[in-house]
Amino acid sequence: MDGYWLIIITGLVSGLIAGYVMYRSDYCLVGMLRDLFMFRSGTMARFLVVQIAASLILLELARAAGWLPYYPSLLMGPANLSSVIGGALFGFGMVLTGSCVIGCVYRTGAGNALGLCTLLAMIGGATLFGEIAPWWKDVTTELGVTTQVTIPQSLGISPAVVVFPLAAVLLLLIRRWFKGGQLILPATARGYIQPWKTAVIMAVITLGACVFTGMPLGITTSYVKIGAWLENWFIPQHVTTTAYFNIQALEYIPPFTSTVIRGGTMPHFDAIAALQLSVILGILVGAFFSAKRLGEFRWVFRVPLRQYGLVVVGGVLVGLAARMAPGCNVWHLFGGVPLLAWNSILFALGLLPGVWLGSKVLLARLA
Amino acid sequence: METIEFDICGQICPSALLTALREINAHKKGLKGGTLQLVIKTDARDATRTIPSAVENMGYQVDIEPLDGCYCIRIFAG
Repeated sequence: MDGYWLIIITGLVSGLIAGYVMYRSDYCLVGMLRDLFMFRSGTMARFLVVQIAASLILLELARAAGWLPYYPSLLMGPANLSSVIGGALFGFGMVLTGSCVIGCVYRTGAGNALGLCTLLAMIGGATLFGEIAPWWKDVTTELGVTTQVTIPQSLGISPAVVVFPLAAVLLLLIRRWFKGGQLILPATARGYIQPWKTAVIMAVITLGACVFTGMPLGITTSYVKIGAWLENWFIPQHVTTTAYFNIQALEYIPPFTSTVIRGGTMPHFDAIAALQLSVILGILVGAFFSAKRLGEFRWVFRVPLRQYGLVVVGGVLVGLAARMAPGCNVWHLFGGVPLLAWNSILFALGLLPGVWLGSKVLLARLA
Repeated sequence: METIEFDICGQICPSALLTALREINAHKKGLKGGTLQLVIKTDARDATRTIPSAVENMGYQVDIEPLDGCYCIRIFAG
């Protein structure tokens, strides 16, 4: 099968399923972290732990079985402290918007006008990064920690030595929550899917993405592409002369194929567009059907103007931060952390203070 | 019984929960005395879980009714 079709089908199927179940569970990655600080509630954060534990085990089993030809993953760079800065800015911005790079997509699919504004603002922020990319590149060269990508690589040991003890600890924790009835949420929303089921489904989707495309789900490079494509309509000269809009980040042979495909930030269809736009389209359609079947799809634009302002500011920051990190919460938390990638762990560490500060600001604006 | 209604549909998350908590504090006397109820219309699915969980801990009762693409959350004295 041609390389493009395999990754497009994988992205579409992953997105459709993710959009459907994330909408039903309101599987909000922002809420999971924000509620820790804003309401002192770890209810939803538990499901992120379930997802990471499931992904950790599934990805390691797949690696051991030889199903991950590009282990740990394509597009994962060596450890750099810039991921902490990107993570903090990302965390701050995502709390202001009330949704992350994937949350705004499934909410847009369900007819949420603020979700659509957030999505557009994130595209704006990711595109804006093109203007500061040379300066940021200079900064990141000073912040390198190690040339290794993952913790096991740095320790010079098999991933299994780290993964299985860590998974055992997480499973004990999850067993405790399960016995205490903390993994089943009382719900009255129509067609509710318990979030633990969505957590497991998202782990299987991550596994599928790694097996069939060679990397976890990613979204925000395509935001740069969309921004560059739009700019190209009005100021083509600027796109041609901006180095960041002409980077070829990917050249590889997708698993199960023999064709080399290439992709980057350029404003035309390529491997990155095939990988990421298919996921976005799938999530939009999956969430649309999910909401439509429940009779919950409807556009609501009459929202306080201040909230439009919050999502635009937050969305631009998230878009910028996702390129600074580089990578968004989906890339790092769903894929990088279970693969024990340094940058993803650094990104997650940065997220926490950002989310804390964002919670303070949002509370002052909304309460 | 007096009813105060808030339409939070389409708003940023977690507006519905924050509105519920703020208005409960503002109308504590009427709610406790049984002369007032709060009604929050929201399309945030998560609010159907977070509002009952927070509000019932404060000694109030909650009932939730699906309503034309959103949810009607009624908060009243227990």
